[in-house]
Amino acid sequence: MTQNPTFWRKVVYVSLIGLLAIPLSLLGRPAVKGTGGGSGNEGGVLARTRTEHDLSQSSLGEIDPASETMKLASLGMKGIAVMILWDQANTFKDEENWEAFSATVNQIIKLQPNFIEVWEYQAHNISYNVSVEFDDYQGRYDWVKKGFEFLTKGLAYNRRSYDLLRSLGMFFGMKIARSDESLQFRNMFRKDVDYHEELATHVPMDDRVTTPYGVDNWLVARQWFLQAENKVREGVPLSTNTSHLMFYREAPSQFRNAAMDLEKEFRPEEPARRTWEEAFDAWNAYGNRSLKTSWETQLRLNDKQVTYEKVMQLQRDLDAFAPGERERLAAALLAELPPENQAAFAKPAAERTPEELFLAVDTAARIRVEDSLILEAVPAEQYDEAYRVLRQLQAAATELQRIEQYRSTVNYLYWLKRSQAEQTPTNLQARAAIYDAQALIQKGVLTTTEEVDPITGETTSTVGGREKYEEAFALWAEIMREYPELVDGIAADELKELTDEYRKVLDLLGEPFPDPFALDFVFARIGLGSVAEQLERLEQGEGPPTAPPAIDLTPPTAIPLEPPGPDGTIPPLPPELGGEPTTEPMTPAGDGDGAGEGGSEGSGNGSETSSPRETPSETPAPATPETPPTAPTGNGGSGN
Amino acid sequence: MGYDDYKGILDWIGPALWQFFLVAVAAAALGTAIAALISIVRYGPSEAFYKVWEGIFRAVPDLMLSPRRVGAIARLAIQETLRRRVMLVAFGIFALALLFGGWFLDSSSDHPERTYLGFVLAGTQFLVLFMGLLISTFSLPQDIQNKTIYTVVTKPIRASEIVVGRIVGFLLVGSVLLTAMGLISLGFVIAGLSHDHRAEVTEFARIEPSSTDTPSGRRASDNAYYEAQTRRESGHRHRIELQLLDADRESLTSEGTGVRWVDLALRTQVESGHRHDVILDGIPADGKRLERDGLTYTLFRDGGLKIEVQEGLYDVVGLIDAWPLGELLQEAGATLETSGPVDILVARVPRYADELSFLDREGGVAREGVNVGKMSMKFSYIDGGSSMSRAIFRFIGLRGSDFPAERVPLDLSLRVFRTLKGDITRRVTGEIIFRNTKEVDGRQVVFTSDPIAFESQEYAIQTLPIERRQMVNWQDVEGNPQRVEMDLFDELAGETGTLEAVLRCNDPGQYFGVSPASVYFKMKDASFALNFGKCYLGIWMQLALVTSLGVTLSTFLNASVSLLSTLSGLCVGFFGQFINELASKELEGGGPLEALYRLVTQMNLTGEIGDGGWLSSADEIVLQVMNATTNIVPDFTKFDSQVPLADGYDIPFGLLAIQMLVTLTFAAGCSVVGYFALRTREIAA
Repeated sequence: MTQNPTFWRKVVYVSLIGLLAIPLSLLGRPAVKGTGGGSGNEGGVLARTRTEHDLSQSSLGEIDPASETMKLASLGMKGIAVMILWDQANTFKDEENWEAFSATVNQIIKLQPNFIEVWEYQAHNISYNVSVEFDDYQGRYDWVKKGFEFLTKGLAYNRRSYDLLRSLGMFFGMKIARSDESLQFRNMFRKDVDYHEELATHVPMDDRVTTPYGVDNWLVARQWFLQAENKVREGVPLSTNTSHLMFYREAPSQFRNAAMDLEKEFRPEEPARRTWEEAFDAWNAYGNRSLKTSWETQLRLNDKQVTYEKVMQLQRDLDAFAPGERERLAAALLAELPPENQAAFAKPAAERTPEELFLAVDTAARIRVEDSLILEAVPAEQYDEAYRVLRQLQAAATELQRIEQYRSTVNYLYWLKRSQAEQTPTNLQARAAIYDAQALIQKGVLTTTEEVDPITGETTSTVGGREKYEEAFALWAEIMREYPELVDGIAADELKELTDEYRKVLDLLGEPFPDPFALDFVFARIGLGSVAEQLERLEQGEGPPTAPPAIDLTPPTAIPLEPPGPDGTIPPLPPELGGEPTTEPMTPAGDGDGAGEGGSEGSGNGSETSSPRETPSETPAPATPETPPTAPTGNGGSGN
Repeated sequence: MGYDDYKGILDWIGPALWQFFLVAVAAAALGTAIAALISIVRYGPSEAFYKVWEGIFRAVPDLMLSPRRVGAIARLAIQETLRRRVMLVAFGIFALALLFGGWFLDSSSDHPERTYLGFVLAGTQFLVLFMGLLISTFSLPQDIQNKTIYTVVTKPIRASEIVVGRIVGFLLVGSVLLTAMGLISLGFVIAGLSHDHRAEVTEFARIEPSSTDTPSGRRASDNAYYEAQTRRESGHRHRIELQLLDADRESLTSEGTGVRWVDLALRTQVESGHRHDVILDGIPADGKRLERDGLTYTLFRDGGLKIEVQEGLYDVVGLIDAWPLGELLQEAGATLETSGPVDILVARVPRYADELSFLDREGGVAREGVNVGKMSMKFSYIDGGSSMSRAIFRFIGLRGSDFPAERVPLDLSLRVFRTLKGDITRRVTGEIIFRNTKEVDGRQVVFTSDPIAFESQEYAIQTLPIERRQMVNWQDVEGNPQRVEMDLFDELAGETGTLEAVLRCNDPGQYFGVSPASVYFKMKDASFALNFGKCYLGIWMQLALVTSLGVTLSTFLNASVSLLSTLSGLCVGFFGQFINELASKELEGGGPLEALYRLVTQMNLTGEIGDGGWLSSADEIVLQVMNATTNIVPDFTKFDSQVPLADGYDIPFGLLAIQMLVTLTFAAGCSVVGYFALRTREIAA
């Protein structure tokens, strides 16, 4: 009798086990590949989900026995183990026990090898937060590198991720060259041959990352970004919150970063010019790349002029249905505006004062005639045809607006012009003069000194820092006149800093600041007034002048300030509205950042401006919409 | 870190004995009361009284152990353990781990010795304790279950001897295993860290002292004139500098001043926590002389170089530049090798300060320095520049005989906090002065040494070689400054051996962080192998604690329950402090029930549970019970000396003696409990 209950209990247990095995099988049945023509099967729910989302370990990346063992050894309590380890890592960080912190972080990633954010977070932690705890910059560099190495380790586990590659690009660029210790870090990185060897297993460490001074961190960063692009080309989809505009901007931007730093560290000569040339080519190739927009359309940044011409042509086509109507409506609108607006608008552009220029731009925006109003004056028998043209016009105008918006987001024109200007001999001379000036000032040679040899009586003259500054400013004035777009970018900020340095030298020499100053027109244009005016305000304890009244300077789609000429020629887009006052054709995407290295798709139809280069004017122009020189924001970007 | 809070066994023993007495009396009273209660329930009040007294009186002779019988039981326990092969399994796993573990250890880390030691010690500790847990908890219950216990209890043997014999037996097995593991581990660590480097003598490049423009990109030392790098071994390479040690700058001729000779030396720089000695192969031990352009060069096998002027007028740099180093070494037929790693496996014996006090910015005495906002409060900060901030390390009872050499190493481990960028290429500087106040002619006179300047070295142990004989300044009764040379310990510290090391930070706006262990005199380097053995002794004591607890619990619990109970005891032993902090609400999150609730509801640690009600009350009860158990099981972490060993600090014998006393006391207590528990069971009646 005693056996019966025991027996039945065992039966119940076995039955329950059997029942539990059914859902277990449905969920966990592994996928079987068909062999010999067999179809195989897709496996259970878990196997199917893994396949659907590419979540199987082999498709994510390398299978690390140590990692798998640790995950198994945690007996399903991986989450708890991870939580404890994170807590420990934070404690070790608080206690400044860096060895233990580093070891714990390495244990965490064994348990979470495919959690991208963990790699990024902890790499950032090591490179940015731990490194700065060290007083010695060499110790900081070592820990910055540890963060890089940590992130690099994550690549093997996550072969389908471009995020890690982008982070590496950003870290290699920003952490090394935008830290307080950038000079030292870049120097150490340049000479870190052991690390270069390690990196060579991931990125090409040949002449693509090397300047005559050695391996450049920016160029290595570019290689990481190019690898991220390669991942996408290989079929890894860009996530929906990644803007194509920002994603493809990263690799070509690195050349100019390298060039700017080389100019600071070494006397600007051919290597810097060459790097700027590469920067221009890469940026132009980026402009020729077809980019997917957030409206699910494609555009090219270099298509602005072509699209503009198209808009103008369609506008003329529309106006042909109701000749004179646009002018009549514009005149009516103009008549309603205050007399000062009318006067400013009527004045030739070259004769306008800054205030008048603002008024003229404001007026142009206010007398803009809606294209749909033209339609109202079209005869009924032509209405359908005119309506079709109107729709085409509106579509082209929208495209132009989007191109403009995207160009503005990445400060496209500014960097294009800057890359172009920086290659010029004038600019190199100016930069070299500044480099010399700073070196001379550091040596205490403030101004030109003459020494007479007591024996021979010969006089030798040594140029001083002050004269070198003046030489540089004169050259820069030329450049700024030739490339007025640079006035509103960081170039102007840089000039302001250099002017301050120069002023301090004059103070030490007890001499007044020259009035007029060669670069006064630059400061006047950005609203600071001449240097003499700035100094006067400074003496009186006043702040900078208040900005001119806010005027919406957004380009009014394709409406020029002045209507087309009587011969029907299309005027170029005015520089105030982001036009390119240049005749140089945009070179099509080619080598460098082009297709060969994961660059642009197709050769692109680089836009070519047909108008002659505008005569540079000293008349200050209002700030263009492409002024923001730093990290762009706006609708395109999730980028930075 | 070393044991800066260890004050010696004599300071510990008095309070410890008193506490032991109190606990023993309380435990005896509690045990008697429980026994009485159980007896009353079983036998009634009058019979119970008799039973309890009988038990106590029988216990007195029973607790008198016969070594022969204990030995016999221990032999049985050893045989049983060997039969079960648990030891072999543990050893096998350990051997496998060492065989393959070396592949995964990062020898290029900043401190590879810590990685290696951490690996072998953690592995040993885990395996040994796990083995102790298994053999101690399964033995008795299985004997009882299989009735094999009757072959023992039918012999004239006492219950106490059964318990103690088993503990001793298991410990002997564990000791053999631990010894084998220790010896193999030591060999593994030494072999794993052993390496040397080579360098090409032609690669020496001329550099400027303190320059950052070096071929390696690293900053040169203040006295370095040449630099080269070794070949890469064990994931790293070292910079080698030719450093200027000394120069005779006296007038050479009547025509002008010049340098008569310079002493230089090739030194490897610290990398991965160690350095190497330079060996110039091809150079005889007594040196090799070469002459050129009126200069005599003497190269020594240990990398030393002396340049003497026979004729001509040179300054230091001119002398060094007269013959480029690479060419000189080539001419001498020298090749450059290094010794094995130096200063990597060490056991520093520190003499810590007895007191640490601070002066604030205005010079007022403060208990603590400035809080710069760091999470860890271990370091307190003093600010630099013109501030009066100082950290004063007061040594009492210093004896000159403890420091036989002419130069005494003063070790610094400071933290640095910058409030401004300053000169990035320079580390923050500071200085130390030694001082003492003594009575002279009835008045208090402050004797102060000259300041010893240094450039800080954060997250490393920085050694300043201090001359024992220092120039000391003081003022006589008329206020006139006096200056005299004194021995730091025999004269300045005086009979009481009192000496203050006053630390200040020199850079305005920058801070030094100090803890009581930040400044100490290094008395000597003890044997690392011995220190390693001491660390293993700590693991052995942990094994003894686990074994005692396991055997005791197995006297009245079945195998699996005693295994779980001992495991719980082990957890309490390792995480006692955590439980204390939870119970005292220093840590958020509550006890096990509250934690479970938070896990299930995915609530974070700080979220309010609301009323809580029965959950909070029940959780509080469980938590307090757990907290109470932390007072029974010793804190296992106190026996763990891995960190001091890996950091290179000697483990004091006195501390080991304290730990051994605690271990033996706990084992004795467990044996008494085990004896009574076993006696209550019918088998031993």
